[in-house]
Amino acid sequence: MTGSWSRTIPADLDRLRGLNTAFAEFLGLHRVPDGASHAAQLVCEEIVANVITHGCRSIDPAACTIRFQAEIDAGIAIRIEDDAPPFDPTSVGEPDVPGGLQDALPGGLGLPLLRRLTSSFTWRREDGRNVIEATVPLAWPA
Amino acid sequence: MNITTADSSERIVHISISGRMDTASVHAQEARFYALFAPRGASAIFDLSAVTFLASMGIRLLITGAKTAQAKGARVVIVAPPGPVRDTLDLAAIERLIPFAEDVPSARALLGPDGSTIR
Repeated sequence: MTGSWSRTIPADLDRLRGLNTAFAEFLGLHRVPDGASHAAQLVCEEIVANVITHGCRSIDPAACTIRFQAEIDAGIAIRIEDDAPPFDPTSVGEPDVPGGLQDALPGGLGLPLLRRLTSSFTWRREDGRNVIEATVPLAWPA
Repeated sequence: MNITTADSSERIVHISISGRMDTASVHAQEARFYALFAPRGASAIFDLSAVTFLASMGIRLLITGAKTAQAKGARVVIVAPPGPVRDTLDLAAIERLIPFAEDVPSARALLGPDGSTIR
């Protein structure tokens, strides 16, 4: 169950859909269990969608590209690079726990989910690009 | 993501969602989704039995739909069988906000005949 895969896409949500559908096929080809496959696709979706809808909006989206790499070995190692302005998603705090539906805020769920899906989740700025690395355990949920 | 309705009554709309509830799909279809139940204040069953992928935007859609229903005195139950989609909902602690059922008959039992039994 080893293999690597990469794609580069422009900042476009429809292209994200294509990226993640192809990533799902790659994970299926390597017989990644359903839970870990869904978790890895979710990591891809949340990080890349965040870059497209927030990071790349503040610059010319046409000049913003996102490179996605994944490697399956002991876990699913994911690396995402983008041209957007510096943003550290690992620094975002946990949202308040609502007392009920009436108090619940619909958004802000993506980044907290990432922390719970991954065994490691790091950000750094490298050569003018954001670099995020995350690992999803193959035995997910544990 | 495909959205269909089945076996709906005046008070309870059964909304079946299938495929990938990803960011692009939710952006494209959220207005149509809310229009199925919100304008007439109907309660709803959000049936995720055939959903293959659920992103945080999909969860946002479910929460906003449930809040909209609640504001009109209506109720929502999510049908989510065991699997990765249910695991994702559990990870986001959604059952604290919206009741879950394993299947549609159980969801109907929670809502009652007029869709207002649960509180």
